[in-house]
Amino acid sequence: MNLSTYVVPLITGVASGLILYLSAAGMNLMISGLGVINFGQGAFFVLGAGVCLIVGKATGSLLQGMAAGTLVTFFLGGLLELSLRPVVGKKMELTLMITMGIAYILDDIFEIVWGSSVQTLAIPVWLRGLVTVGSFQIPKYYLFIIGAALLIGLAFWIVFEKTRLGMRFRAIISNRDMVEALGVNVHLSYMMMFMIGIALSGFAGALNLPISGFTATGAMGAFGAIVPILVIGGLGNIQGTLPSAVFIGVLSAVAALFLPKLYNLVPTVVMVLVIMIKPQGLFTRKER
Amino acid sequence: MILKLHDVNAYYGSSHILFDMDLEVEEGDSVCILGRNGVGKSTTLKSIMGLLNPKNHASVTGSIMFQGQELVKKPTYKISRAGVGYVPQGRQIFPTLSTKENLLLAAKAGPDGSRFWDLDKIYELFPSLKNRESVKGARLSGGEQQMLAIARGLMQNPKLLLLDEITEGLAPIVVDELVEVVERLRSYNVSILVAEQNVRFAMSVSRHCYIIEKGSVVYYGETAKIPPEIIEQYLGA
Amino acid sequence: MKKLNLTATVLTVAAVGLCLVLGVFCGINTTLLMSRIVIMALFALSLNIQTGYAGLGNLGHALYFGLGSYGVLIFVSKFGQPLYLAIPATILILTLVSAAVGFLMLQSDDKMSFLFLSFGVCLLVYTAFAKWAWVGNKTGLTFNVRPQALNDPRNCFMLILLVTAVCAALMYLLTKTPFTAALKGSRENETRMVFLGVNIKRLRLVAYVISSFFGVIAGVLYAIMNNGAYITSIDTSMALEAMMMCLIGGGATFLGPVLGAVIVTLVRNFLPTVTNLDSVIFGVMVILCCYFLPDGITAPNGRPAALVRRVAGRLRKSGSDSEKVR
Repeated sequence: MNLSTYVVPLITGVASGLILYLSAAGMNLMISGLGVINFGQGAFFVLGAGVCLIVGKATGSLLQGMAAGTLVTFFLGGLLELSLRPVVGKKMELTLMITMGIAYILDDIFEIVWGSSVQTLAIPVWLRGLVTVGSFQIPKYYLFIIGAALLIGLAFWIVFEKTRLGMRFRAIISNRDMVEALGVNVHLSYMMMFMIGIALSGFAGALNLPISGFTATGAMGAFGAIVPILVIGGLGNIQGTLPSAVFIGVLSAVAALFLPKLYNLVPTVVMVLVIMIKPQGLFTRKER
Repeated sequence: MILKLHDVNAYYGSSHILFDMDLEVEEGDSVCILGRNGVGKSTTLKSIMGLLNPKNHASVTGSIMFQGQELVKKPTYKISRAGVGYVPQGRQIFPTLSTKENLLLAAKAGPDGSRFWDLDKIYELFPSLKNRESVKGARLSGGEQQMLAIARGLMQNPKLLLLDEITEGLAPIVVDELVEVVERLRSYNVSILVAEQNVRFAMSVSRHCYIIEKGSVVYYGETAKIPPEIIEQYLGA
Repeated sequence: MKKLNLTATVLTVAAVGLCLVLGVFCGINTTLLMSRIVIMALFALSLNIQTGYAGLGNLGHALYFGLGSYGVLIFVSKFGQPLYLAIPATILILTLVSAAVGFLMLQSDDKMSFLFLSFGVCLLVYTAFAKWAWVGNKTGLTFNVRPQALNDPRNCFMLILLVTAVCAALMYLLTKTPFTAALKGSRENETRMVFLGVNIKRLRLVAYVISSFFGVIAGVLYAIMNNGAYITSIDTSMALEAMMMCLIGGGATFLGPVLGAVIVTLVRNFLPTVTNLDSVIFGVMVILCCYFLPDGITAPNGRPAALVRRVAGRLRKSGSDSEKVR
């Protein structure tokens, strides 16, 4: 096997890793900011894909579909935060039940509105085909995914580190009560955190649509896919999400070459190993 | 009178900490709350700030009037907006925010709309903070963090500043700096309520003094005129 | 307080009696449904040892339930072992496994991590089994494991009821021990327990293992009832439903999870026959429960309990009423 057999899987691995990164980053934002594990994150991933499908088919434009998918999930994130407000601060199981309850509701809605067969949206003409990089042929769409995901990731980082909003996020993540003691209305920030966190997942789902298609029952699978990333990167550790996701993506892709039937299990096996060796995650740094 | 506590009882779960507490602060005055470890000094300030609430399994009864508003049962952020600034025990600087960001986060107009305390004014009063403007909170020294915590409290343009055990863990030379800082605050007519274990510090920055024992006030008077026997009795080592 | 216990005892006996009647005399469909309800009750009770008493939310308990079923099926159909060997072997092996798994998952001391990991591990096994031909992929395993005598669903039901009652009694006795008191203490005030010299990790691990033990038994019963093991038993939504049973019923009382099991099983059983939107309704039900009954229906401080107390108070003779402080 020469190098070129690895290149394409590597690229696809990085691409799928980055898609999951977006969803996982959204999760980590909600976990670190509000202590909420959103078990419906997979459902919003599917919803983003679903809306993208409908709008994409109607307008003939994938990009418009993606924008629609992101926007719809963005606003639903606000609704989700509102629905969680009565129980934030009470026992953690309640927020988890509510997010799962919402996932249940969405599951049924997916089946009713979209039907149970797998549907997909065609890759737009300008993104089809291969790009020649050096001596390798790489599918254009995967490069698009990598580019789009990194762009959004960059935007997220800029907001987080360089804007007032991000400043409030960082403060809330480290000390919620003190932020309140400073007179800041934290509820607005919470809502923004949720909207962004959910929208990231919706966007990821839309991005993923031309590759994997839309499956009405895919919510749990989409959630399960980010669990290893979250554990290996550190639950709630936003900085660790990207390296963890890329790591998992590449690992899975390489594993697929050697274990075509079992490569799905590799991330979870690695996750178990990480729990054994370094339970707080491989990519965490001790702050303070 | 800018602050008046009347018959205040505070509970952490079923632990009764403050018993029928009465306390007053005149506008522009600086008042200290003295007492041994665990008598309820911090709890008093936290009660004023609304930090004893159902979420923390704590509760407060009685009346805390601040400029005509009842603070008991008000959420913390509303108390802050009403004009009470809190410099918490342990400083609680945001570690992932820079000095400047810590200040900007707190920046707001006072209840009367005044924006007297802004970044420039703060840097005037705390020149060392300007030098450390872009340093992340986690990397500041204890003394710097304390200055930042006080500065952050001021950025809210409060009418009343609560200082909770600010000398804790600081070297004597830093404590002396703090005395200067608080003195200058008084010259700006900021009302100050200080909870302190460090008797020397508290007495050098306050004009009036409450001494607490077992959650109740046992002595009140002008700081300069406290009889040494009283100090010995309630604060003696 | 003694009077309240009497009420509870009477109610329990009545409930068991009702169970018996429904399970044996009301037609085969009811028998099957009752069998399922009783197994779910055992399943929920086992989970509550972790969730209610130790305060450890667990979204992967279905793992032991499902593996309990699969274990029996595998021993009997793949290894040709008789049932009376397969059962203890399954229980023993899975309990040991739970000790190892629990040990790993409790390393981080963080409840949220534990919750998350329990989910992850369950999902892992589910995914693995779904693609594993030896265990029947998504179809599962079917084999005649039952002895002749249990082929009558009513006999099977009575066995299930008996085993569950015995297990429930054992678990009830467990709640009277200092162990449970320590568990509850660790839930309420961890720091204090640590200062009292209690090893919280070990405490939780023991709770986890005991909980898994009974969960496996529930799975074993399920295998006997169905002559099969199905992948839906390891599904994370089964785990979620178990959590919901504990939460809806109320983790604070012993029988809370049983009530939750009854409700959830009935709803999941009958709703799909009535509407296509059964998941929506179930989801809404769960959410409403979280808002209005956050401690479950049987919560001592909740509205339903207060209502029961009022009614019970009125039913009692007036003589003793005047002594009550209400």
